[in-house]
Amino acid sequence: MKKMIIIFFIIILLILLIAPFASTFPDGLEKVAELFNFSDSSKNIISPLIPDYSIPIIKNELFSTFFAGIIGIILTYLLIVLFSKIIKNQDIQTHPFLLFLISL
Amino acid sequence: MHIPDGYLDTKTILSTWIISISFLTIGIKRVKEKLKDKTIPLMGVLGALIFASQMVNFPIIYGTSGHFLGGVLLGIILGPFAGLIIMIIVLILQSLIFGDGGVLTLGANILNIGIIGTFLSTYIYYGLNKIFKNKIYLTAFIASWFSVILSSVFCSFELSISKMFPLSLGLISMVGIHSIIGFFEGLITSIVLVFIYKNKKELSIFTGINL
Repeated sequence: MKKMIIIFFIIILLILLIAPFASTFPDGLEKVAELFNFSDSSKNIISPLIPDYSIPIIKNELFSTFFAGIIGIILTYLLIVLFSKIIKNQDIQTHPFLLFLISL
Repeated sequence: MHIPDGYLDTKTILSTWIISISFLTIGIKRVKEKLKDKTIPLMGVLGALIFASQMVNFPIIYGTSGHFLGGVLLGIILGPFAGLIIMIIVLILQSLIFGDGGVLTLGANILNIGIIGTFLSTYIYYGLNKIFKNKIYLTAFIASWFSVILSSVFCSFELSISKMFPLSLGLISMVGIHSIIGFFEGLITSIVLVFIYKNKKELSIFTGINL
């Protein structure tokens, strides 16, 4: 299991290195929205902290997307582990990542 | 295929939220009963993998892009219930922190990508395995392909109920584009399975245990 986690972790880092070079074309749904003239209906009802996977304070687009990805994978990991531990009613003090999260 | 805010009307938003919360409750109950402590880090890492891969849009045709969803991959490795929970957490983060997919439409996105694209599609994979014996790469490919198409079908229903487009034309465009995106979904899922097949004993589907 440990070995698999390490391999997946390396794959994630490789994906994040490609992420800044991802296509900026509209995705399937956005394209269809353009075809049927309702793409303008899209709106943000909250202002996201990291809009469009780029950190506003980092000017370099490539780095901005890469670090947005790093923040994203850390948050995803922490939230899933935290959520799983909570529904299992475990003592969250035993998990170093969660201790770190709580201390923030 | 993350629906932004503004595309769906109130009745569609409310009904998709009700369906999504019901499934989330069932999912939590099941995962709570069956989850083993040693599986938790793998769940977190797979969630991170799905998050990262959904950032990478690849160009397809006519100036359109698509990205990997990963629902069936999650379902194959961890089972439909844990897969659903992980996908829901990824969708919540994408919506609240990254503005990818709306906040009000989160219920619809959970329905399309989580319940249909992950949960239901994993059962399609199990079903296909009963028809095609010992051909997991083929069945994973087909189930992943269908997962994207079925998600786009549900997305079309929601948009047409919200009067954004006529159902027939909308369905043709959505399914048309997503059948191409789904092809790559199937390809990536099968390739990842080839790669992890060596560790098969640790994977739920190969051991018959699933969350």
